[in-house]
Amino acid sequence: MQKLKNLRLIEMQLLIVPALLALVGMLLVILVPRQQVQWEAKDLWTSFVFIGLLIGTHLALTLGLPKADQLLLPLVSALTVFGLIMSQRLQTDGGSRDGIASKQLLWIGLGYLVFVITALGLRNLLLFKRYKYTFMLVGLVLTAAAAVFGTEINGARLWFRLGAFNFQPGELLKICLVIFLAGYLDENRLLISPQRGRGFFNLPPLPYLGPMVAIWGISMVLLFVQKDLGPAELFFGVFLIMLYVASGRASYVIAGLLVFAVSSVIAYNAFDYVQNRITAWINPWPYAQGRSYQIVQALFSFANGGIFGQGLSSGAPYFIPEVHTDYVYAAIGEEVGLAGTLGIIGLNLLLFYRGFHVALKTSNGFYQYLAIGLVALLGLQTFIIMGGVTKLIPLTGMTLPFISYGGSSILINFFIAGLLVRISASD
Amino acid sequence: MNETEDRTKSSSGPTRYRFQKTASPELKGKRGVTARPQPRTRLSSQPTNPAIASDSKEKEERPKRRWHLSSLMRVRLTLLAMVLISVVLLVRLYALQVQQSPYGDLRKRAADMHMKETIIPARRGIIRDTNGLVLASNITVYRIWASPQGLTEKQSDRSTTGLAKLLPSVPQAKIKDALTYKPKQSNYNLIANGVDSAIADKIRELNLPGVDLEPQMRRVYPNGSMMGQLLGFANYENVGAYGIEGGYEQVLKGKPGIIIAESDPDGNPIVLGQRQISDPEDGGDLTLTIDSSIQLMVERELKKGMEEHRAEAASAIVMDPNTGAILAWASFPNYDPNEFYKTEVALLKDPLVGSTYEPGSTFKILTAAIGIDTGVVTPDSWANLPGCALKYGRTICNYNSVGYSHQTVVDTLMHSSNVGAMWIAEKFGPQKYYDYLKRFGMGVPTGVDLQGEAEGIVRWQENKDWIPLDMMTNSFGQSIAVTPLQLVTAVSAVANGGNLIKPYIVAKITREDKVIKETKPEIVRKNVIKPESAKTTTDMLVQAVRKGETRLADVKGYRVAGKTGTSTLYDSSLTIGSTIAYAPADNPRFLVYVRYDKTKDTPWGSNTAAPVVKTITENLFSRFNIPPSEAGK
Repeated sequence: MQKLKNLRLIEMQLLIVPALLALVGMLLVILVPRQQVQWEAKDLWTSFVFIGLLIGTHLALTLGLPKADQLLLPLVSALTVFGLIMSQRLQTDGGSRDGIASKQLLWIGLGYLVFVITALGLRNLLLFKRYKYTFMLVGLVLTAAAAVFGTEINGARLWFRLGAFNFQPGELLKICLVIFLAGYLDENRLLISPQRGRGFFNLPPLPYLGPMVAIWGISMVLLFVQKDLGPAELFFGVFLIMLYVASGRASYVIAGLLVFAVSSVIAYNAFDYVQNRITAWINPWPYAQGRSYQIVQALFSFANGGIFGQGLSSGAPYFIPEVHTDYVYAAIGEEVGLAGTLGIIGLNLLLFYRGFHVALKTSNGFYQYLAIGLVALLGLQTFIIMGGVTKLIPLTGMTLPFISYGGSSILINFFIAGLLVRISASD
Repeated sequence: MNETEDRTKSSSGPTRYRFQKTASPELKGKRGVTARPQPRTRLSSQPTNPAIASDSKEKEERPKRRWHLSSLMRVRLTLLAMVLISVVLLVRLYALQVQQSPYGDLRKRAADMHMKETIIPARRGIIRDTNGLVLASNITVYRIWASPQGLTEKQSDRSTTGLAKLLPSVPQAKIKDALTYKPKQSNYNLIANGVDSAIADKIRELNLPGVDLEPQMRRVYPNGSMMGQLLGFANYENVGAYGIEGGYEQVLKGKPGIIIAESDPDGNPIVLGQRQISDPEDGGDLTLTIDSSIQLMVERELKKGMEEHRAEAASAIVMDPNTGAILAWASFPNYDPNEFYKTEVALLKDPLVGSTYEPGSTFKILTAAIGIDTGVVTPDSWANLPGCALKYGRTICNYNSVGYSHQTVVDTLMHSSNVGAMWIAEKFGPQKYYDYLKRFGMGVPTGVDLQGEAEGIVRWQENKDWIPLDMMTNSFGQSIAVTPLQLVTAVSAVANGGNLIKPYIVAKITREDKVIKETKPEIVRKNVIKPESAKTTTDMLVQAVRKGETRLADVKGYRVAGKTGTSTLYDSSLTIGSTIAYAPADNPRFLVYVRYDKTKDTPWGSNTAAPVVKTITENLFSRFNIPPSEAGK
């Protein structure tokens, strides 16, 4: 019984789904452009490598962390396989996207490595709590350095060029912020918790709330300077969720939303590109050939998808510029239809639910806050980009976790997943 | 298996999830002392927690418990918020993907935007003269496009410098901009238009990345300014404007072929995409009634006279008065349709149909014809007429104020007597007069197949502002405005025995050597005047040429019928002098009209236009091999 318990049978069974998805999806993507049903095993090498990664990760968890959560890895893998298939599908349209599938596979491989190292290697997560200020500082310095010395891509300095890759410290800053907030909230819980006072605006002593707001303020400034509002929205949301869960004060959330509204107005007046995005959001049609081209093409893609989609490789998502990164959800919408888009929302919801489950199961306060913060991070990022590409909210550049093409994003998201698995096994 | 695990968990405490609130004091105490906290098993942790809690403060038990519960609720609320956001997204996706409701028919919009129309231009019809000489044809030129997507910086620079060298008229910055990819915009930018095929070949040889050439037709006129105003031109869009190009646009333009194909973002058709193809249909070729040899001769003689008399403008029409076929059509100053873009707009209009003038004494032909046809006079009817006469409060004189006793109708034409014209007009009266003018086609366009024909200005008797004096002045061609072509058709009716014909300039329309339409001479109105009246009038006009003011148009040995006219311009002391003549008078083969505007040496049409009419007539006699009818005379 004890031995069986250690086998992680649920995970094993559930991993069959992403494994099959990898085979079937990749086969479709490869065969449809060929227009003939003829293939060799080596055509599917990416799928085999991916399945190998699944098996390897599963074995590593079975051996190293048998009691860890069994749903997280299958959920993350199911989302990841969508990303892999889409990168293979979108690279066939040639041009600038040549060869992204193998690069994406490389990143996914590294991602699983990060996942295993994080889950098995970080035996003592409480160190994170102890060095929370250090983390925050490192994250901020890197981001600031990127803003000053980084490479400029599409008008924003967010990247470091490391050889052939572009590394985005903003991705790292997100994790640093969550670690810091989790540590700080846990440490000062009594001071900011509701029993300190009853009034609507009964603030805790400033010295305790101060450093937190200050750190958050600095990160906001950095992001404004970097001219990338997406991460600012994300940070803000994560900050509010964590503060709310820790303090239970709706007044914080309301005050925070007010501040957000004010900063949005400032950003709207300060930055042309924010104005452009807002006008493109309110009515994109007059600029359909100009600055709204991308969002209009994305709407077309969704519309062409219908319920079951055009079929993998049968749509025309390549009309959307940068479709493989921020707009991959629209490509999925076109080729797999409402079934695919809802499926991805479902997978994500299950992942978030499971993340919260991990948070509630653990008994350590820091772990709880860390898990909640990480899930909030994943969740908000997912919803912001999904809302953006469906024109529900103004668009901000952001990747769809686990699915979009992009190294930094894949690595960081696998790191988050690894942390959650680690926390789930922490009792 | 999982269930067992869960069961153990739930049995171990009153709530399934335990928020360990008071971990922090413990950790605080340890901070900086040990790097590694005690690894705890679940079994050990659960008893310790309450212990620590009760240890620290007994009083906080109540608030702690409440916090404990609500903390769980808050996590659940956050999850609920996420579910709600998902539901909103779901509704949005359903609207977008299934209902397509928010923006009308999104799929149709998408298809429209993704379908690219490629137009295969139709060959514009060729214009030839009656002998087959090409007057207007086409050459191929090129449009240069940039499609910069996917270009590297180096490639873009290479293309920019390559193009800048070959296209000196395009600023290099514009080329560079066109060849720079703007990520979120359409990837197709125009660099240059109408590039010669020689330069286009060089560009093609360079094989520049991101540069495409699109062939285009351009119109050329091999004879330069000959018949400039008559031909008109095809503009930058290859659309005809003015003259024949404008008037026959529908025939000449043909029907462009269209390929509608689903295209990728670079505009290249997708191999397996939908497509519809319609083949281009070439424009119809035109054969004009114009004879270039006559045209050249007329232009030469007209130009000569223009220089001799230092006229500001000159024009001429040669027409077959029986059919209305136009044999020559010239006006100066004119322009070269190859360079229409350099031409003053005022020059583009064809003065022979587009502008009106007071015809002056040439109009007396009609007055005489009406007099004869109504029977109020015969050629020999006479009166003693003064050099000046007071009519309705205005004194009107002959050009030389000389009066004649026993002045016949023939004398009136010979001496071009204004008083005589009024005398005839008074005999038939305004009602008949205007009735006849209408029948002669005054005040309405002739219907010639050219663009921009003016209708002339006639104050009819029924008009409110008509006064009896108008008929008096009209009778010798003043206070009335006609186009030269109107006058030519009206006089043709006298020449051909009474039929008002419709002038035409396109003899036939062909496509691939098959005749699509052949123009048949068209009679607008038969018997405007009786044939015998026409003949009588012609005889009088021959007399006028032989002995009268028009004698400089006379050709020895031939019977030429004609009349000169001079009208003073309102805005200067200068005149418009013209002469209209047809020959051979009894069976006319051609009618010649010549007009000079603002001549400097002599104001009279009898001195400026008449000699040119004579030269043209002589040339035409030999061109048509018409023998003299009255040898020795």
